[in-house]
Amino acid sequence: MQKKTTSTLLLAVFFIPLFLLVVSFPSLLLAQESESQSSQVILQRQRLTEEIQDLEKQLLGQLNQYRQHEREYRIARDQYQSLQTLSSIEEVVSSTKKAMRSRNLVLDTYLNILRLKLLETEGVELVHQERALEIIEKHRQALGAYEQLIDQSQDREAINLIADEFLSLGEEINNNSFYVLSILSIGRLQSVYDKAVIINQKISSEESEAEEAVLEQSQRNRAINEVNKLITQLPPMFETVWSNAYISNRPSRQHESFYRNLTRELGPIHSRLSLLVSYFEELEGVK
Amino acid sequence: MKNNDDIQTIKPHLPDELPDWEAERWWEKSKSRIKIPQGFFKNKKNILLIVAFFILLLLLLISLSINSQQRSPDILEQPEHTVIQDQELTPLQSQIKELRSQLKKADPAIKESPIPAVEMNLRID
Repeated sequence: MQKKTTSTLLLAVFFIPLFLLVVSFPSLLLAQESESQSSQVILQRQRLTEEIQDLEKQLLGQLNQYRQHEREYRIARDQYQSLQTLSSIEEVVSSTKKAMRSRNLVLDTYLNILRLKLLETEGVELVHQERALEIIEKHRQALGAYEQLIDQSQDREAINLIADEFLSLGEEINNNSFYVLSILSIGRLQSVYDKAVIINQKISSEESEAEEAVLEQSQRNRAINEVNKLITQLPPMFETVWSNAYISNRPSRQHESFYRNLTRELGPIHSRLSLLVSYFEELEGVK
Repeated sequence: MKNNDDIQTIKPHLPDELPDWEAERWWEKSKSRIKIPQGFFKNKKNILLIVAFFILLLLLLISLSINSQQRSPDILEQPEHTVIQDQELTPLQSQIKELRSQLKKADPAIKESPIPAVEMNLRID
């Protein structure tokens, strides 16, 4: 009798954790799956931010090295111009190649930073994002090819030839980098607007569920109407600025001037968004 | 005389009926007829059950610890101030706060670092 009781007790002790395990495992797995999906996106963004920070540090180091090499190049060039000796020619050729290589490295790192920022920033229109990524990739490939040309160039004439070739590439990189900076600036504001629309939807649905006094409800309705008015003003403004960013890619230097004037163009959008957020804060009592 | 006495003393100890040897045959199964009362931990089944129970318990603990470990990055990745705020603010309020800080970062007056100033024309003249 006693033996029977102990074995039943043991079985119960054995089956309770087993039951718990069987019951909890699928729910744990499901919860983990949905959590991991959302956290993956956040972690991915976090990893991108970290990568950008690392690259920015690298860029600083590379830029210092470039400055050093550029200084050496200038000294060697001055000596060559004044002395015109074989050793001065040798010196100027090697220092120019060194400066060209470190310039390449700086530009490649900078383009890589822009690429990662494009991937990190929400709100950039897909057309612009794809186009910019394509341009960056093309420039990085061109820099890679130019690196080979530097290695192959052995005399002054060859170096001068590739130096001339670089002028147009450098100009393009410079111009397109301003295009990327422009769409990043617009994208950041666009992302704020997109999130504001979602918050507004939440506030509106909350209002319909709320059981408040009639007067408070009518006040709230008026406030929401004001918010909606402000929200409808923004899409045409964004549309204009996005299309301007697209048009600005005509002749060279256009992107740079567009970027320089962007503060003026985006100012009204920013101030409206700021007002919108203030309305939200007032409606929801955020201090 | 002494032998006769011995037989007489043995006799009462003999069972009244002899066991059915054909039916019993316990020795063929390498078993003993004598059943010794066993302790709880001397029973193999009981030991196996206890071992299985501990293995299951261990599995349960491992699964729970894995779950908590996977959750921890979520908590870590949130900035400290938002964790504190979440305790005080509603989800909507914290979203609005987050939006305000995002708007500050998106200020067009804050300019990104432009292309590094490098000499594009490195010629030997």
